[in-house]
Amino acid sequence: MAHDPPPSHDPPRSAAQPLTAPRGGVPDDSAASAIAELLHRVGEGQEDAFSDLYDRTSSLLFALVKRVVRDVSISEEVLQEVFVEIWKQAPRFDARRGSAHGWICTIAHRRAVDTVRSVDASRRRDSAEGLRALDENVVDVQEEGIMRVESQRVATAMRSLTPLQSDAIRLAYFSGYSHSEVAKILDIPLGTAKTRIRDGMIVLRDSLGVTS
Amino acid sequence: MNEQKRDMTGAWALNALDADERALIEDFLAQDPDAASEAHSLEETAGELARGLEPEAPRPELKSSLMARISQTPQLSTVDQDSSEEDRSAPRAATHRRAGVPPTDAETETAATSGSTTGPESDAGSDAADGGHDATVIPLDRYRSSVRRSRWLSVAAAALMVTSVAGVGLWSSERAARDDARATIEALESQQAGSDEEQEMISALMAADDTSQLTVPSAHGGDLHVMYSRDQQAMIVQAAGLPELPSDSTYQLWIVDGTAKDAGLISEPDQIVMAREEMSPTAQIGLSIEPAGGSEEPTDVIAIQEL
Repeated sequence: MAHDPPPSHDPPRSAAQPLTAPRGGVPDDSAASAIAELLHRVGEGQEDAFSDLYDRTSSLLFALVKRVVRDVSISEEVLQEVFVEIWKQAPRFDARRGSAHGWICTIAHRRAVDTVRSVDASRRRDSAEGLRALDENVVDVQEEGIMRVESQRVATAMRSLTPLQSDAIRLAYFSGYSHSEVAKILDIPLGTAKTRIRDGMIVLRDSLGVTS
Repeated sequence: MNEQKRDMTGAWALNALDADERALIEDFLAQDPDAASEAHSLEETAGELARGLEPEAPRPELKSSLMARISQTPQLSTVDQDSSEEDRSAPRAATHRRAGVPPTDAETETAATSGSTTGPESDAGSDAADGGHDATVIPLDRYRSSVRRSRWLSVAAAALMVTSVAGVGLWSSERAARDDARATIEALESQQAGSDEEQEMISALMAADDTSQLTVPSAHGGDLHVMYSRDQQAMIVQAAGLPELPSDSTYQLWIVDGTAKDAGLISEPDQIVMAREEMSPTAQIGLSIEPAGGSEEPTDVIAIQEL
C-alpha cells in the first residue's frame, strides 16, 4: 500500500529532543520524512503513530503556540486543540503538496493566532503593546546564549531582512498580529505592510533554502 | 487588482489576514497557480521560522488527556467545506481537487446499504448544477480501508474460516491492515449480494491504480456514490436516497463531455448501475429526470459533477 511506512531503523527520539539538524544548516531530511510517515499512519487512524508524532513534535508546537499566545494555561489548551485537529485532518495530509513540518506548523499557528485575536483583542488594540512585544522578541533572539543550529539558521536569515521587513514579519508570525495591526503598530500604510511582509518572506524563503 | 492580491501572499502565509481577506485571496490563489505556488512556498517558509524557537516540552499530563480524547474523536472524512479552514486547498487547487478520507464505518455502512440519510441542504441544487463543493473525491487507498473496515463484521466469520482452512493461521486485524487490498476484494467477493458482473467490476476497480470515489449530491435529494477508473473505462454508480419518481419518469445517468452519452437508467431509488465508457479528463457525470424508458439527450438535469 502506498502509505505503509517503511521499516524504521532509527530509534525513536525522546520527547525533549528538539527537531534540529544534526549538522550543517539544512533540516534533517530523515526526521522530516519520519514525521510525514507518522502523519500518514495517523491518517489511517493509528493511535500509536499519533503518540509518536506527539512525542516528536509537541515541544516545537508548544513553543510556537506559547510564543503567539503567551499565557501558559491558554497555550496548553490551544496545544490540545491543535493536536486534535492534526488527528482529525491527518487523512487529508498529502506529502506531495508540502512538508509535514509545514503542515503541522500551519495548523498550530493558525489556531494560536485565532485564539489571541479573539481572547486578547482589547489589549492588542493598543499599539504600545505591539511595540513591547517586538522588543521582547528581539531580546529573546539575542539572549539565547548557546543557540541551537536551527535557531542560528533562522537568526541568520532574519538578519538578511531590512529592519522594517523584520519587524513586520516578527509581529505577524511570532505575535499573531494581522497585517492591518502591523501597519498601525509600525505606523506605515497598509499597502507598505503587505509588500514588506511579502518581500521579506521571499528573502527568507531563498535564504532558508525552501523549495516549493 | 490582482497585483494587490498578489502582494498578500506573504500575509496569507503568516495568517495575518482577517477572514474576509483570506477568503478573497484563496479564491484568487485557486485561479492563479503561480501565486498559489508562491503562497505555498511562503507558508513553508513560515514553518521554517518556527524551527528557530527553543522547543519546550508541555506538561506530560496533557498527552494522556489528549490520547483519551482522540480515541473518541472521529477523523474527517470529506473535503473541507468551511472556507476558514481551507488553508491548504488553494495551492492544492492548482493540481486537482481531491482530498478526504473515507466516511467513518457507520457512514460507509449507511451509504452502502440504505443510502444517504441526510438529504442535501436546500442549496445543494445550485451547488450540484455548478459542479459544487458538496461532492467529494476519495482516493482509492482510503476507500479500500474503509470498505475493509465497514464490511468487516459481516464477513469476519467467513474470512476466519477461509484462513483457518488454508492453514494460514489466525486472522488478525494487523494482518488485514498490511494486506488490505486483498482483504477488501476477499471481503467483497464473499458477500452474497451483488451480481457476478458487479463483483467483477469492483475487483477491476480495486485493482486499478487510478480509481477514485466521488459522492455527487442530487438537487432533489439523495446522492450518487461513484467509483470510477479512467484506465479501466469502468464506472460503478450506486444511487442512494433518490426520491421516488412517478411511474412515467425515470432517472438517467450521463457521461458528459461536450455531448452527453447515456450511461444507464436508474429506476429504483437505490439501484447500482455500471458503465463501461471512455472518460476524458474533462468528463462529467450527470443525472437527469427523463420520461420512462430514457431519452437520447438529457432533459431535466438534477446533478452534474466533474470526474
